[in-house]
Amino acid sequence: MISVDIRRKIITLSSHEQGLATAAYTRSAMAPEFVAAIAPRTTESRLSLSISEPTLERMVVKYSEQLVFQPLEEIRYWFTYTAGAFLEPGYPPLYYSRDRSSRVSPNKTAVCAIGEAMAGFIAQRLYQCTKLARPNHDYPDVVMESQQRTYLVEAKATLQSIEEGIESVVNGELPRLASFTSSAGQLDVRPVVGLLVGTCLVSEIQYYCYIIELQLV
Amino acid sequence: MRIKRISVDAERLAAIVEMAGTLVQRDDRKKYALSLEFALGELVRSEMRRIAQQPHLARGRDILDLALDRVMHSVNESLRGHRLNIDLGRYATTVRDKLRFPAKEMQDLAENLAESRRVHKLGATEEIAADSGRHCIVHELGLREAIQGLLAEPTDDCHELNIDGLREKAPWRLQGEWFPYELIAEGFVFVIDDDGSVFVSTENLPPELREKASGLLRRVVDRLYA
Repeated sequence: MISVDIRRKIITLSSHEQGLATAAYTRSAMAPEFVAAIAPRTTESRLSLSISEPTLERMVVKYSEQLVFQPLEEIRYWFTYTAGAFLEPGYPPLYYSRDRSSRVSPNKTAVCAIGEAMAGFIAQRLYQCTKLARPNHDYPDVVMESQQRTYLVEAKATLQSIEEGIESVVNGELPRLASFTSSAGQLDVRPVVGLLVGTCLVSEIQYYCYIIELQLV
Repeated sequence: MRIKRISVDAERLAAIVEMAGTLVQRDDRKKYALSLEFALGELVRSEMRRIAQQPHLARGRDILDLALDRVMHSVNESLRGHRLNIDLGRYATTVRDKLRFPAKEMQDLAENLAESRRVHKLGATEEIAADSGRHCIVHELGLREAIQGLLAEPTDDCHELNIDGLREKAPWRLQGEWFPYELIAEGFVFVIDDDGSVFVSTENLPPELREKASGLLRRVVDRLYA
């Protein structure tokens, strides 16, 4: 069983912050202005969930567009490598015989697949959403629905540390999703919610999810 | 607790009709329902998969054209049924453009699938009748010599899922407050999703344990679909 600690932020965006989001997305110099504007419009909570490996496998099948066969095995193998086990008997001896100073990295496709799977899982479990679409090579990653609302779900994942890793990645993506959610909200006939789900694979049995929910007002 | 089963394509069709209704009501050409486009795209992709599974339909035909025609026919029928007069042509055009490459991939794979089935390379699909009298379809996932999992799907006449029926069955343990639920039974984890599908992993299991998983799966769906 994998335990999942969740930090969830809900940000309500008025037309002013929506405009700032688009400005920050197209011009990075506007990002501090956007960050300052959304701070008082943000609420935060913490919760935790658990997910079994077979469920995560099903979620990968349902939500990932990565052609990856055994992402959980890949990640487990990576954590075995980083634990130093490959120096012991029974493991391949070649992974540390590098001829350059480049770092060995985990299988990025597997990490992305797990990130997409977790985003779908969170949207179902926490928001009681059902899958409306999984667009091919499009933005956002997944489109979900619940009670005639459309959820635009974007997934991010990393193996790096929580603060410098996934929270930084998600915060960096925020202006883009906020801008897109704003446009979708103006064009669409349904209420639209943006959902940014970042997953940090802390270990093979512990994940950390950083969620930002964007509500348009 | 009985929960309505989500019949995904039926839900998508209903969502399209609902959004088309709002478009008609508002009568605003500037509106572009992104959600409608996404739902339509998913319906067409789903139809392409269905066609690709039937070699006699897929062979020599453009499956994207065929799927789009079928879906638009079905959508237009539903719109007429709701007395909604709206042309969704611009959404169909976008969907066609986006699905060109997936369609080509499916077209190629359709031939491979037909050949794999001919030589019995893949796991089997079987329709079974549960004790409750309800039918379901069980798919063996993976290559015949290495079945990775079993997936049960209800037939279309199953409209509700008896979640409490699973919760009450000791010593089984149901985890989760919403889909996907996880049922722990005799060391196996059964993943229950909102479309009524039930998955159990059989990866690397010896034949006797796979048999056990299969038997348990029948008992699980018997309760769930009852």
